[in-house]
Amino acid sequence: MNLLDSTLWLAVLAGMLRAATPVIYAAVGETINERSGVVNLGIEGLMLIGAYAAVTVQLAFGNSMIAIGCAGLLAALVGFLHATFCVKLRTNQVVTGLVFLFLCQGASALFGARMVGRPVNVDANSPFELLSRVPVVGDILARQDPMVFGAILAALIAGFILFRTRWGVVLRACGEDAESAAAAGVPVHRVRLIAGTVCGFLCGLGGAHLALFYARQWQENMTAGRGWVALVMVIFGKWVPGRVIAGAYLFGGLSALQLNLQASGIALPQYLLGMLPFVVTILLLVVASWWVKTRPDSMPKDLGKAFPRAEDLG
Amino acid sequence: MKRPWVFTCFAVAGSVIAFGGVVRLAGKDPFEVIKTFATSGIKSPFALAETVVKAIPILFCAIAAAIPGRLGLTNIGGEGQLVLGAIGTTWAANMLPPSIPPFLTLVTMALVAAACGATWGLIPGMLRALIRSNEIVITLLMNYVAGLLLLHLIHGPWKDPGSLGWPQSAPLPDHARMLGIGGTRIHGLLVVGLLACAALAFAARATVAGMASRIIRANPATARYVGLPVGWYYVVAFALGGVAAALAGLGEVAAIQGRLRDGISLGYGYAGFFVAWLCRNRFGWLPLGAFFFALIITGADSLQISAGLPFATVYLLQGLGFLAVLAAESFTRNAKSQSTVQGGGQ
Repeated sequence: MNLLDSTLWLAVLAGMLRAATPVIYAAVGETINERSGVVNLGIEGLMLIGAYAAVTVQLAFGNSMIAIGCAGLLAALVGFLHATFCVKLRTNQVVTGLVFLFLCQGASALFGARMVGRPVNVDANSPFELLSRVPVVGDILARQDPMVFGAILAALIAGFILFRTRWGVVLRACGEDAESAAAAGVPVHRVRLIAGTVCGFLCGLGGAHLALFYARQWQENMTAGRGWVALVMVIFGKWVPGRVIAGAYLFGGLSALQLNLQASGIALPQYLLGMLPFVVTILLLVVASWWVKTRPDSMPKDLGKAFPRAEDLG
Repeated sequence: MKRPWVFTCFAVAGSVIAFGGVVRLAGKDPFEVIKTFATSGIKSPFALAETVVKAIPILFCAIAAAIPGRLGLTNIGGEGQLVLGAIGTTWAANMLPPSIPPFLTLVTMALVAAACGATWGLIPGMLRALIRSNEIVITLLMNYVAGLLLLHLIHGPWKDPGSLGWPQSAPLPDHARMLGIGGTRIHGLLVVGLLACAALAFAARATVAGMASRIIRANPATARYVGLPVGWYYVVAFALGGVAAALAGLGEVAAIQGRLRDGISLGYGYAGFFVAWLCRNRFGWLPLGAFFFALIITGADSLQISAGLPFATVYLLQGLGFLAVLAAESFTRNAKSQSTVQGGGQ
């Protein structure tokens, strides 16, 4: 096995696109949520719910479109519940997110127990035959599933809505200064509830991709930290959906590299290699924290704060 | 929040009902499951002793979360810090020659474990103090790194050749084992944990550091303005938290498992975080909260065996319980309580 062998790097590239996709969906969803002023630390759980729903429906009906849709809807429902607690009941957002994470972990493990080990067969061929004509990487692109491209599309659409439309201005206003937004007539609570629901939907899609096109089965706790990686990518991307993609592909590339090196038969300590994506993600967060510290404007100012604030109620 | 136990009662009632419903949905008999769950931890003196055994690591992990919690920080890295403590314990136990007196052996193991845990805690503490990194995300990601380090050791360099391929370390030498009290598996760290809670409760109430922590928690900017070394408090709190969680790892390796293996922690780190939150980071309440959570974990353990439910079912019950607490708290909140999250999203 030669490290300069192009087949290795093409395999890494293909793996990168696949591994990064769930992270992109979740990170774009979380970006929308945080832009509205609510932080959801439970997106790992939302992804698990999506993965669970996707596998259940896929095994029952054998239609991946329905499976993906159901995954999104179920996770959207959980996202809405999370938003209801944070926005309407004004609960501590850190604890609420973690509680939802454990709730989703437990529920998906309990209901998913009977599906463990059942393989999921999804036709993963891209409808984009034309892509195979692209030189060098064409074959790889043509073999990706549609959701890989859907993730990029979702990020672009989210970026367009956030920064080029009236809806986006309203949503960002809620995250920057909820009080002023409310004074200007924005229904802050409703906007945040919608953002939380959309976040849930996108995390569900990420989970569905992970289960149907990546792991191709249900496993308890199969997200294995990807939700937390997505949270880091939101900060690394400075709360801009398009930039979030870059960090996600870096994570995906490292995951794929690690898997391919293992498969190539080079004697490497697999668990130490497995740390690589997490260690690099922590380093990305360190870099991002530095940016945020030097340029605090990039972070939504009212992020994590309930509205109305406690002082205002007293 | 004057009376956390009121909310605990809400949590128990609300979550048990909801949990029963979910269990019914999963096709099991809810009454049988809840009965097993509720009684398995206390049905005999032996079961009670085993519950106390599980409460010990939870207590230490709760301390690990509560010390930074007093400063308004969140440490959900108890799981990883526990694993590092377990690794340090195993390393020290196999390094020390049997000629050293048993007491010194134990102290050395504890010191090595504490050093490992403190290092693991220092990283998020220092990053928080220096560049305001989100300590929640870092501690959580570091849990995954610690877990992989553990797997690397027990599958690789530390694997016991006599374990028939089972991934675990060789058993600790006899002189490095901690013995249980009175024929049970309850070990001396229970006393250490209770004393630590008492000392910390005193420190929080009656020392300058305790007062300073309250100021930092209420408003870090004010604390800096009056000249408190906020960054140092963050770093020291996280290091102390790491030490506490590492002692949980010491107990699990030296007293309970007798070797390093996967599943050294049954989610004690996360349980400890929730105990600390439920007790509002008040050290005097932590032992009670830890015992309560040990009951839940014992129940989940027996469910796994008797009803064939996955262990993670316990997370569902915990989650439902905390939703009930969150809702109850929200409805009874007095207007001055904290509703903002320090450093929540950045």
